[in-house]
Amino acid sequence: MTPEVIRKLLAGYATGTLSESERAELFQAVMKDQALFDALADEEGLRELLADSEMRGELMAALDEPAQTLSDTPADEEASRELRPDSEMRGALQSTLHESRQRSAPNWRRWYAFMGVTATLGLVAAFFLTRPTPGPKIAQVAQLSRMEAGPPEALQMRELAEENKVKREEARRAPATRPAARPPAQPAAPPPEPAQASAPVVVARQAADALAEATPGRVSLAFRSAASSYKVEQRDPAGAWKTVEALRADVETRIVIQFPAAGLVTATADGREIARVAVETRDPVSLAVPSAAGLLTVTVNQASSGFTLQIPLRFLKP
Amino acid sequence: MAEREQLLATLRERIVAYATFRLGRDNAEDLAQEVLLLLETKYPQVVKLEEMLPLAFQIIRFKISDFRRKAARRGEYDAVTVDALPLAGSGNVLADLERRELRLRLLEAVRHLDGRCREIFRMKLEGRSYAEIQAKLGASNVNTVYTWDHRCRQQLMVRLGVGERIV
Repeated sequence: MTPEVIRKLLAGYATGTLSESERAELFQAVMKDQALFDALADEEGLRELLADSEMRGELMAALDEPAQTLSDTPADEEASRELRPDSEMRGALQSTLHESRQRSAPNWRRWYAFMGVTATLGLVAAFFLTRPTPGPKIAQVAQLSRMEAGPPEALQMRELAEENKVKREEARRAPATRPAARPPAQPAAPPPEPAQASAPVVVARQAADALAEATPGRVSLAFRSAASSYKVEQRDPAGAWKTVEALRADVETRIVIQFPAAGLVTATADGREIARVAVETRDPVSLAVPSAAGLLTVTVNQASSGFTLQIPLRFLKP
Repeated sequence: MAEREQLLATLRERIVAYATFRLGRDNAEDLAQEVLLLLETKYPQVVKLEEMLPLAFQIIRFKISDFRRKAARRGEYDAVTVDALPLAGSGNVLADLERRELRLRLLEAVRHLDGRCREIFRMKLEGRSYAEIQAKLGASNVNTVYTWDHRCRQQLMVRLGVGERIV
């Protein structure tokens, strides 16, 4: 037998139709051909079923019935009936469609509700995300009690402020006086050295008890305000005060400072006190600077804070 | 005995290849081992291929059925002991269900067979051989009957829903 013929013997295995020689041929082929082995193994259920005499009887009865066509099965009959375009079927189809739409309607409503809730949540989230966030809260670390009774320093500040005011008014009323002897101009003065105007170094002072309690933010703000509102001036030959780029040691020099708050100002030049005045808010204070001073230190004591300006001065060599 | 050993070795290869596609490689090895063990311990007298192969198919079928039942129940494969192996006529619910399903499909499929196929199938059920069928149908030779029956089997398998496994 050819392999092709042996393959056809599969049909007779389950029903037990094969003769001894055919079985032997088939089994020999099965042991050599995996596909044939698989097919025969899968046929085992059918073989077992067909081995049952009762089942054989049922099958014989089924074979005695006339052969069924495609439309003979209940399912096929139903399908062919659906294909018929009669009015009854159309009505049934329409009612089915209507029911289907009714069934699907709540799903759409649920979907819309879901969309609405999602959109609302999105809007709320967007509102909270885009809302300007408040700055960090400043935690209160200490309570500073304001001084009720004027301490000697405060009294001194007030007295000095009054004195300054009187002096300024007197100076305004009196005619401007020029210094009698003006230093002669130096014709052959060497060319001035390039100015080394460095930014003033601002250092927090924490010596006083009251200042030690001050919040860093307030001190920092005062520093910034003070540092941006001072100028060093020299008197020109005409007698007017002018801001110069290079300081000359033989010319009268002053520093004008505008403080952001009232306080007691103490100024030292190279460690030697040169002025001690009380100032009011926004009051410009003019302090005479000794010639050739190296470091000017201006300390301001206020009620709740204080600061120190350290201004390095570089005078040109005569 | 050497012939039997050779037969079992070949059978093992076939079983592993068959079950690998259906159960996976590891389970296929186990299945082949259990089938051979059963053949060795319970049926040492079976030597001929014609006897051994149908027996092996029967054991394979029950082993696979048992594997699927246990895997579905516990999600794992447990080896079935030889003594616990239920052969024909067991109370295996899954096998009974499969059998009932196959019976209904076979009855339905048989009702749709055409004239000659119905006749051939009827004669096969009556226990006639291919030679007798050839004589009854007046075919020139038995190979013609083989071909007719092969085509009828293909029809039947398609109706049974196992058309992809037709050889």
